[in-house]
Amino acid sequence: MKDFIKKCPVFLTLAVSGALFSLIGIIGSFSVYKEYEFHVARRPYLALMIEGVSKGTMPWEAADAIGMGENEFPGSLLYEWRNGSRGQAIGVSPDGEAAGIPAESDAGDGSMVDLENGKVPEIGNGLDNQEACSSSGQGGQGGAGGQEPVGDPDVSGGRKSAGSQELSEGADTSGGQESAGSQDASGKQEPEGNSGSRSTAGGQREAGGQDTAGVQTAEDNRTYSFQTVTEDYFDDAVFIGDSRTVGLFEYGGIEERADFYAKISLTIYDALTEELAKDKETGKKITVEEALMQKEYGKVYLMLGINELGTGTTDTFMEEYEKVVARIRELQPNAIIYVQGIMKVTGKKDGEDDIFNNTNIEDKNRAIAKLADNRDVFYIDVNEVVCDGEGNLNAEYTIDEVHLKAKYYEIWKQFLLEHGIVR
Amino acid sequence: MVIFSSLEFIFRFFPAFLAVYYITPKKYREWALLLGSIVFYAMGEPYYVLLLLVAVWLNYFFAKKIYSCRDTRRGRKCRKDRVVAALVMDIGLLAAFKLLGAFLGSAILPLGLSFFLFKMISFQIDTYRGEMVQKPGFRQTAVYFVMFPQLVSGPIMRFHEGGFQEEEREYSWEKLEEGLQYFVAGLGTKVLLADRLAILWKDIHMIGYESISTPLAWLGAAGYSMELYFDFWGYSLMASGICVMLGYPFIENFRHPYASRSVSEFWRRWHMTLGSFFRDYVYIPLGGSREGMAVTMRNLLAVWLLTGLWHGGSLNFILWGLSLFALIAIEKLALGKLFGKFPFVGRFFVLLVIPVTWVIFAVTDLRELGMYLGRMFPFAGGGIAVNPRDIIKYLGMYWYYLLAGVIWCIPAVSQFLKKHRRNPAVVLLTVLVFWLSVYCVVSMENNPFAYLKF
Repeated sequence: MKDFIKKCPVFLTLAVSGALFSLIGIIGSFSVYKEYEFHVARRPYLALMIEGVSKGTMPWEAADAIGMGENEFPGSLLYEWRNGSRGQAIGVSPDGEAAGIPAESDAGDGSMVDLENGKVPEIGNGLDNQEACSSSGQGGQGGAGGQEPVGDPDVSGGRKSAGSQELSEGADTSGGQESAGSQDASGKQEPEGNSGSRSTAGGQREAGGQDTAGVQTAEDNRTYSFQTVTEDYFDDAVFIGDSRTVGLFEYGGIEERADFYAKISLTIYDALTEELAKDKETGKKITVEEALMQKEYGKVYLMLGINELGTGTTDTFMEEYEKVVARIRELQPNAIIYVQGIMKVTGKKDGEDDIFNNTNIEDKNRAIAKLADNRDVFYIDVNEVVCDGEGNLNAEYTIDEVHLKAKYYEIWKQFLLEHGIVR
Repeated sequence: MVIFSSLEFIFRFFPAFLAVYYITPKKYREWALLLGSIVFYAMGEPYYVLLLLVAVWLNYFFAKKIYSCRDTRRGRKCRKDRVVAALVMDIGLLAAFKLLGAFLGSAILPLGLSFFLFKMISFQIDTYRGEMVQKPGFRQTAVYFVMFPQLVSGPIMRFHEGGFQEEEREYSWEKLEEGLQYFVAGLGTKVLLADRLAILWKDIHMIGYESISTPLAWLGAAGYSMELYFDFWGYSLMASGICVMLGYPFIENFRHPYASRSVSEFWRRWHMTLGSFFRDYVYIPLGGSREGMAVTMRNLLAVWLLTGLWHGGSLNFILWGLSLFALIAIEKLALGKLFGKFPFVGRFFVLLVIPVTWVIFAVTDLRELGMYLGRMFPFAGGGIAVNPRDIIKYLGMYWYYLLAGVIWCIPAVSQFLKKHRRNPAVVLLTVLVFWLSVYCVVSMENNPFAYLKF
């Protein structure tokens, strides 16, 4: 046996750790991993533990299922040890606050703690898994990085923002042309004061729901219809969206004019809290919400929703969507808000995907369309120009059945130009 | 299941098989391997497994007949007739399926067909050439044809390399450990590098080739060159690692090809078992390079056309084979001497032209291929809606994989690890790479939309 250990350290370590992980998987399958989709015939038990780690559920949490809870003897030791280390982690965060991180990013910190506790909000994992995987892959290649799953969201966050850096640079260049078409004569105000006064207005709107007519003046009650505008229309516009909007930024040819707060796999749930913008003075990364506080826009374009197809219902989605629109209205009282219908997928994708199909997209689009009041919130649907006769994304326009090929973003831009609102 | 980097293989089939294999008395282990391999193949191809078994039996039957010619009076003629019959069968089967595949789609092709048929062809010719030390038994022959580590994608081991006719196979803990380390190295190479770089290539495709900037076109070509290498090298390492764990020799399939000093050398170091197959069974029988430049060129052309066709039926593969033929011919005629004198120039040449040949290999649609090459060499202008800053974005997203890839292409790195493989740090690294790879595999399986983030 001693001989064996000496000759086969890798074999032995893998066998022992594999057995251990399987055991954790089996134990956890009755408790912490209960909700995971799992078929004994198709996957080994240790996949449960690994899936748990990738979702932020630590393996030792499975121990609670076998009398290792905090009140039992061996478990209490473990609990103490865990508590101790968490206490340290919390001790760090006040420093962060002292450094002047505004309230919004505190909410972000809160969600990080949630991650550690294993209470990951649904959206957090699904599509982001791979990113976490890749960032830790980097550490492993260097040979130094341990498999520190808790740290993962941090690392991947860094990567994401690296990807979006370009966007905010683009945003900066156009910063100079700010408020060219703006009607607000008061110009720039103190952000804080701004948000304060606006929140009351927003509150009224929220209370009034969609029917805000009662609070508004007669002039505000006018509805408007679309007309063709020129490209300088985008000079005071901002686009918020997922990878499709990233594509519009990269290939639509309006990146010099408009600001883009867009990121791959962005959802309505993190649309305002992601750090996709840059503070013009300090150059620090700021959230979309903060960016909307700092700068006044004439138009806000939203296209979000495809990444959310797999989570929640249309109702839960719309609940959040309405909140986001209300918040934008609050921060940008004079802006025209365009809620864009989600771009569809091709017929091929539609036929083979249970989640990302056009039935689900149409369902969400109908709900989004209801937000329009044709006074200051307008619904536009680019599917009118990028779909074929059967209402699927034109297969010629895409390689991956979901995203437009670069040269076809022009169609989208033209569509936007033909659907301008001038008040 | 038949993919070595899948969870079912790593945590179900292989451990179970390994336990059974080592519990089985030495005398019967070949039977265990034979049975295990048939089960393995049947999981991937429940119907074609019958075809495999018939092919195994027929080839054994023919080889026995060829071998027994040595006892007849007209041995030479007898052997020749019989080997021709065997080859007609094997090559006919291969050609028939490749044709079917070309018309009906490649889904119709049995798993690993070209690999086990190439083994069979080499087995027949070796028997014909009298290279068998003794009359091969059914068990050995069948194990050689179907042994699961090599069944699906090679390496195309030769019968004599497998040590089938030696007195007794040696098994040891050291070999088990060594094989496992090769396996983990291969797993990491495939999962942590190849599968990540594959996403870059997919991204570029998604943009549309007409809209990528020239630097991005080259970055894509470099990324794809690495992806292809790591995918196949990683696979070969896993396959050979399993062989070593089972007491069989390590079959080398790649010898750091990107460190070559000429295209000819590159192809002696890339997919070596295929290269040596064509060399021994096509190039040399045709006369090799001994009968003047004209014949040499003809033979080279034959080899490269066959190599092209072997990889796929569409026109771009023929184009790819021809481009390699042209490069190797030019080296033979002119550049070779220059590269001999200035190895640096040769290395540079390899790193410049091989990625271009891989682009021809990768893009099966000729119009799209033209567009991609047009972006790599934008002499005629062109390009629609090109974003000149796209390179910054993709470098930002992939630089660490590309950098790790470049480092992993350097021969000294893996040689160093191999030399110090018993060092505790390397042992730890192996364990880490293993679990990290598994972590990535789980995330991908768990999230079928991994490639699709919108």
